[in-house]
Amino acid sequence: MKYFLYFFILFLSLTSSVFAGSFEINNGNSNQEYKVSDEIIFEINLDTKDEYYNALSGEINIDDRFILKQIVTGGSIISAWIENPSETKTNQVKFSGIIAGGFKGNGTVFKIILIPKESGDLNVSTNNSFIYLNDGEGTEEKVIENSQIVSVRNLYVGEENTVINLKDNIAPERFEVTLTKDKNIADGEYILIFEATDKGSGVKTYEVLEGKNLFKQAKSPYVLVNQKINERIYVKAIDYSGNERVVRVNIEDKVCLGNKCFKEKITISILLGLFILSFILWRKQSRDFKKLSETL
Amino acid sequence: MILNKLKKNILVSITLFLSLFLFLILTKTQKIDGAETSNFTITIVPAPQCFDGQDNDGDTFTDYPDDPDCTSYTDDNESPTVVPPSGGGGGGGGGNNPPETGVTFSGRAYPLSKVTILKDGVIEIETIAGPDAKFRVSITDLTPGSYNFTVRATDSKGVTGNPFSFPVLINQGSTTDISGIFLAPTIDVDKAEVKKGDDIIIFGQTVPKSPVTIEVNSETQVFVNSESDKDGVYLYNFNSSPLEYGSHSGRSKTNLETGESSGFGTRVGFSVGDQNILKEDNQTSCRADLNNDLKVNLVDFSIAAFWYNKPLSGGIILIESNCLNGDGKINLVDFSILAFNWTG
Repeated sequence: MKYFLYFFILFLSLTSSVFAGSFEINNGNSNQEYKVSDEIIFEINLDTKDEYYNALSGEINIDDRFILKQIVTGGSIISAWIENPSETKTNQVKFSGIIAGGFKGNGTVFKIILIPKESGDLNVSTNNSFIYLNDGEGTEEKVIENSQIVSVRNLYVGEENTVINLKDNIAPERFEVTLTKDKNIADGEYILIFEATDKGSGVKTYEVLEGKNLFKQAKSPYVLVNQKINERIYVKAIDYSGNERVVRVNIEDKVCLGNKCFKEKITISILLGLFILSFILWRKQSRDFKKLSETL
Repeated sequence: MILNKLKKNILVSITLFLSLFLFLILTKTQKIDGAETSNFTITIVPAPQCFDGQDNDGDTFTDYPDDPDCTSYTDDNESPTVVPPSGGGGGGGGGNNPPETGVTFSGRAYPLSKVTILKDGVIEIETIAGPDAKFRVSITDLTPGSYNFTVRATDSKGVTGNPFSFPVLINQGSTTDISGIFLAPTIDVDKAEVKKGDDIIIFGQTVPKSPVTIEVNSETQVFVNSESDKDGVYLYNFNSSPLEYGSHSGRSKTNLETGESSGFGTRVGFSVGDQNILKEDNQTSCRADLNNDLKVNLVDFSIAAFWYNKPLSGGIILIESNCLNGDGKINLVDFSILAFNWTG
């Protein structure tokens, strides 16, 4: 019976490794020894084996002896984040997102840069991971969790720390902003929908500017403060390296002059009125001038 | 004692054999599934050294015009050029345009079908395939980085085939050529329910004049062969006698004489019962189209994201029930359905 159980477990482990997708934590060379205060980059990868997956979520648990310096989403396989990777609790990063059309292969979900505070064997692991097949039914698949242990020693006198310099001077890519309203979001108020991508360090945050106000941090879907939509609207995507891309929102049926936007019909009527008025004044002035010339 | 040991050894051997046997079977099935994608080729023409974003000669200068040894963006040598003693001439270079960073897709879809390329889930470009189902389309001016591209096509009946997605790493100044894409045939049926023993018509579109294999799922899988006509249309009158009562699905693939295979496409569902029920032509489904604009894109994603893990109220309850999985909540399962139906 003992032998049977042993082989059953062996069988299960073999088959599960064949079928399940897995999250992998990769820090380049696993045998490398790091020093306290070094910057270490970890890639969180998804290995789908032979299946297509299109939705995933999970947590990364980071050893307390690490400081999370930066999250990098640039070059991610994710098309749209439901929850942008962020530190929800100290040393825990949560994330969820979708891959439109599905993904098969081994791709980076995001990267994290960690700095060890102390020496020892420090651990980074995935937890509570979920992945779904791209089958139109939302079928949940088994995920193999992963953990990575790195050896960290104290810094010797005269030694220097490794610093990760993610060279990124390219702004996020051009993106579309949809101004719409839907009765199922925010009681049918006007909203902005946007999602930018940045192939370098990744989009860190968005800001929205309405009229003469200042840019303020925003998240899609963004409920507009000014529901009259009579002011210019801009959306800014900022990446982790501080590069920015600003997009002006196209307001249908409205013409903007300066910061103010008017309905197309009203603007045309005003312009037409002004034109007619100018013409009348010009005619009147010409006549007066003619009369004056005749008198002289 | 010896007998007991022998029994144990036999038991261990049988278990081991069974485990390995099952493992091999399962691994083999997985391989078949893996073969369901067409074999495409990625050819990368690398960027010239003077526009690849790297300091190739280690002189601390990178690319034209920063590296004085580069004469133009298209110069493929960052190292200093040895000037012949006779001298003279020189100059030139510069003023040219940097090479474009782009990607070209080519392959087979359906004759005169609309082929759409999505870049990271957003429609990037559309083209029309030729009468021979072949298409070729390029995207230029890309930022270097990793992209997830999706190629899909809609046939003459408006049926969209299985999209084909793959990740590609684009390097600065390089041209990536993705050839040999072979989209799986579209598939549809004439009946939602077929009376047991009657025929159900399975049809679709693929490459003209090509053999098509249709697989129908039952207790035992049934495979039949058909051939597409000059317009790429194939049709098969499938007799439902061998199928048991209940739900079934069919899918198809194209195998060319050259040995190229499209891999199986999406499944179409039908049931076997006591009556024939025709499948309505204009059967409208709001599958994942939450705002009913006939597209599944970022707007639908936003609606779902707004209600993610929140108690549903108002109109979204009905929408979730009709257009998503109908479990009364919006969670990752619904997002998976949305991602599958994504049109961009």
